Amino acid sequence: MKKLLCVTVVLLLLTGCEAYPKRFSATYTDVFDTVTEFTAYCGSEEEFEALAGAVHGELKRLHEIFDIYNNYEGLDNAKTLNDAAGQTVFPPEELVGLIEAGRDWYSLSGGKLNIAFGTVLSLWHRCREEGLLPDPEELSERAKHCDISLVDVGGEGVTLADPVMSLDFGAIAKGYAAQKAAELAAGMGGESFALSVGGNVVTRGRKPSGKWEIGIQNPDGGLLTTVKVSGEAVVTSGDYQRFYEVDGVKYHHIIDPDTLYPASLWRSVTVIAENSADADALSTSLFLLPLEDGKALAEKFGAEALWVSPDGGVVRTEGFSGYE
Amino acid sequence: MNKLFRHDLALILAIVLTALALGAASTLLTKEGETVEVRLRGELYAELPLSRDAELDVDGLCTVVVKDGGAYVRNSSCRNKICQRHPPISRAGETIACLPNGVTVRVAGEGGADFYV
Repeated sequence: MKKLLCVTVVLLLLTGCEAYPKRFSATYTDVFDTVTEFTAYCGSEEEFEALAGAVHGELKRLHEIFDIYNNYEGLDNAKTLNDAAGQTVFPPEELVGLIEAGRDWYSLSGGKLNIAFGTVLSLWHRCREEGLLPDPEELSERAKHCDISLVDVGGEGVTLADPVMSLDFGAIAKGYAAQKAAELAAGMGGESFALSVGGNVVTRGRKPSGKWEIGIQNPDGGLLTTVKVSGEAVVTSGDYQRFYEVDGVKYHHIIDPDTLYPASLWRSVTVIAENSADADALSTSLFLLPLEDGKALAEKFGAEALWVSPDGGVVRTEGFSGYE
Repeated sequence: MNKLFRHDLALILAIVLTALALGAASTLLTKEGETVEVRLRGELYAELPLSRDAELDVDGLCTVVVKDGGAYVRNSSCRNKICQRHPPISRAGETIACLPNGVTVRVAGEGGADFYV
């Protein structure tokens, strides 16, 4: 009986001191014009700092390469390429790779996701900053310079054959960068972490208490549902994420290339996919596509999706509820 | 019943009950202690309990308000004011960010989702 007592006491003591690794988090606001959060379970703070530092460094490196607003000394980045439209530029391989991915997504999305849409997006960007609406004539004029077939990638060089055109990677860069940073952290031995680059969430492993839980916001506020993932990427494109108001009307940041105005088919689209780069491009594409086209595209990537329509209705792919 | 065994049983029961009571107390205390972390350029600037109404001036950049268990941003010096339009946050993991000023407000603690998208 004494034995039983001893065993009980030892068991109770054990439950009080956790053998699990600890949870650490870091937040960054200096990459991709958004909030980046990195959470990991590590044995020590030093271990976490090493992982977080590497993730932050990789995101910064990629941010500078894909940045269309700033130049960096000694780097031919996306801004260099845009500024030198008409001439051949030799950017880092990551930028060439992202341009090639962008061309693939143009055809996959039936022309809805277009990285060569920079002239139109920069006008919307400026108007959002100033709280104004773009002049429709200027929008149409700029839309004449968005022909992605005029982006030449040859050898290692890239040429924008239309000297007025410019590239914008806003729809695909964050997901791509999050994927690369997660691969780096996994390569360094990170086994249980989640990285969110502006809502592009990549996960690896599990938490000691189970899978990673990602809350999906209701476009009108509150929580729509929660998905549980372990290794998958989750991202949402929504009209409530970046928007501004003019005369009481909301204008969000995802522009339909056919209307040149914010897309209105959906309030939000959430995608769960194996790869964060695919998830990012898919969520934007699905936000711009009718349901059936979006479903077919998601299926090609083995991805699951959830759509919220303007009347608040919710549509899911068949496998989505398996994550809820 | 053997006397020793009865005493053992009583002791075990007492320990289990104490453990359960402590567990419950710690859960309750954790909930009460839920806080918002205010960060400035990634560095922890302040931690405010959600249970007490408060206003915090963040370096003259904006004011973080805690009211009725939720936190939100007011008086931001940034141009686009996206942070100010964010509804109050109260669930663990929810975040409001003012990127131009490098200010983030995040509800700390376990229990909510790890991220919100």
